Amino acid sequence: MQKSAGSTDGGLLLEAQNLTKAYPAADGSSVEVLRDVSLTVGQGEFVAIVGPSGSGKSTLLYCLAGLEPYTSGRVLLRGRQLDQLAPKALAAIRRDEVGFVFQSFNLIPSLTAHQNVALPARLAHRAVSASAVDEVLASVGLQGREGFRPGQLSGGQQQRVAIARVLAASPSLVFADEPTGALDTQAGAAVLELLRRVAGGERSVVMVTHDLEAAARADRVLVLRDGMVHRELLRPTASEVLEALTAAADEASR
Amino acid sequence: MIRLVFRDLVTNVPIWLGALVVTAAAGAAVSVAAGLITSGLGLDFVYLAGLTTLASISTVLTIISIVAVLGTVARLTVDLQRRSYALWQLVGVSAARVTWIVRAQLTIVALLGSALGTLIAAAFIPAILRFGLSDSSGLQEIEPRTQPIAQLIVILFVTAVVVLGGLKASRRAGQVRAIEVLRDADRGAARMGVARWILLALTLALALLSTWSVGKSAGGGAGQLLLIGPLYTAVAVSAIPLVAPPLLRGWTKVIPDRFSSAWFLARNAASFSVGRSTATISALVVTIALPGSFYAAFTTNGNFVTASTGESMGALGPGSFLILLGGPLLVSLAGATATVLMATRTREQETALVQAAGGGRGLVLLRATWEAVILVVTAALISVGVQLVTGVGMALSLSRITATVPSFGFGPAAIAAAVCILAVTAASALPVASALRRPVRAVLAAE
Repeated sequence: MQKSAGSTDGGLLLEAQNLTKAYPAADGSSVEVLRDVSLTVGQGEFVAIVGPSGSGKSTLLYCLAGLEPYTSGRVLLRGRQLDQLAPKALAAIRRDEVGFVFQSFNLIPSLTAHQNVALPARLAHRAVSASAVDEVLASVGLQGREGFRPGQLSGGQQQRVAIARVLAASPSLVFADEPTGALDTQAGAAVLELLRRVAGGERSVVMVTHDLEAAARADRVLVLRDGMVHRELLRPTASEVLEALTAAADEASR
Repeated sequence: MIRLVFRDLVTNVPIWLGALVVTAAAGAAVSVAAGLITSGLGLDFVYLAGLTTLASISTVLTIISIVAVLGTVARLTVDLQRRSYALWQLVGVSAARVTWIVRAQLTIVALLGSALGTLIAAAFIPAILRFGLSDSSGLQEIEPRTQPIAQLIVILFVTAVVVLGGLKASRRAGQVRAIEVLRDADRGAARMGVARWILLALTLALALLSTWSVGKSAGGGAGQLLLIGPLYTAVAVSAIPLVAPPLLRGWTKVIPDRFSSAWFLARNAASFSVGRSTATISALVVTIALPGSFYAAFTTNGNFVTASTGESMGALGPGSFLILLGGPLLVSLAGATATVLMATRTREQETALVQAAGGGRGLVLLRATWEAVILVVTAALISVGVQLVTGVGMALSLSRITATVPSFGFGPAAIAAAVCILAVTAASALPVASALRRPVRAVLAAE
């Protein structure tokens, strides 16, 4: 079992213990995608998860977020064990505690940027003022784009709307799955800067990425290999992340 | 190139399913009309003439339905694959060739669909014709017959109509810019193009002329009677980009967004889809307005006959209704249902997003149901307009001879609307219910 320690500065927000996830294979056997993963995320932390394709990064992220059931082990979000919650309670956690930024298709195409940002509050029956939503959109550089639909926005602008949605909902934990994967360097850097600002105080960010520069902006980087946490790096540089990834790949090929 | 035509068809089966279902319905509908003619072959001229008249009216109405529905279905089929067409261009397929590939695909789908529809209908034609002719005068005793050569002609005829109806949509595929591969660009609002304005002007002129001419003489209304309703329906379908989006936004405002999150999402989704594609709403308008306006014209004329002669003209029986309108309604209902099903992929992604944002299963199912209800109610409101114009127009024209009270055919339209709600709700909600069983990761994950 590998365990990664969360920040000790704040309280513990998320904890995964001995997490495993297996999928049924075509031949009837099962394929283990996550193997005995344990990790913690502290309040205010920015944690990046890196690893080669197929290492289980996205699966881990979705298991931690309660969007994918796991095979064994447990995930505790603010002390509540996700697999023991009824679907309604799980949905309530997603409304109140968690925010998401996906690689693409982050926004509902029929809603304007303003409506997309206000959606979590609407689903949670929380009052949110139009001016507050506009302010959040302005804070991510989208002043004047409030009435635009996703199809009228660039990929980078759509990601910024997704981040504005997170900011407006004020969840304690934000999950980001390859948030810069579909963006050019400049738009990606702007999105990462915003995500960096999101993490802090009581709010944490867990981000899955292929991008070494993106990972280097995190407080902590978990290197995943073959469904296991291979290494953990504290405030690494991009070259240190590359080194760890290369080492992981070398050990895997041995 | 042949491999690309077939491989792409197989890969995008859910998208092409819409065109396949519409052509199958068209094949079945025209088969019934062909069955009428083959049943009359070898009989006295008077029987053959009666059956041919019925077959002609049914075929003309079915063709109107095919053209109204298929053009929009084909356009939606192309719009849903814009990214693929952009990718083809990036790997060197010329714009002209993209157009020809889509035309080849449409021809294959039309052949398959019409053959399928014709084969399925063959088993039911005797029963349909017996029931259909049961309330006609003098044709009840005719023995229904089908002939393989007639079925082959139907397949080729429907294929030709479908391919011709899809010409514009296939040209649109060739006009996709390669840059669209980078992102799903907003495909823009459905607009009134020049062709649509011309169609609107023509159908409106024909409808007004027919309405005016029914009041020219006491016996002058019989010929136009069967065409006035379909003509006003065609006017409404031509004007849909102009009418449907503001009407939908307007009436749905009556229920405020705060009523429920499901309503809010459904209202925006319906408004967005109607603003971008007229496919579903056109098919729904045809399905509801055609029987409604048909009955409005028929019963208003009946009121005229009663007022002028004191005798009843009799009602349009269910058998005659089936023979005359069954085919076009089958095509339009199939079109409405298929176009809703074609948007399943987008609905799956929305379902996953709403779930990720904390929406429950009940909310996403209710959203799908509300969306179907909003689309059908909007079509029903447009249909009410068609029926009012048909009934009042007929009554005013006939009142030049004898004061005539209008009828509006609201009953048949209400039944058609109820059938539409059931079919479209099923087409909207069942894929969502199925999508709810898929993990959110499978829909939204990057890896």
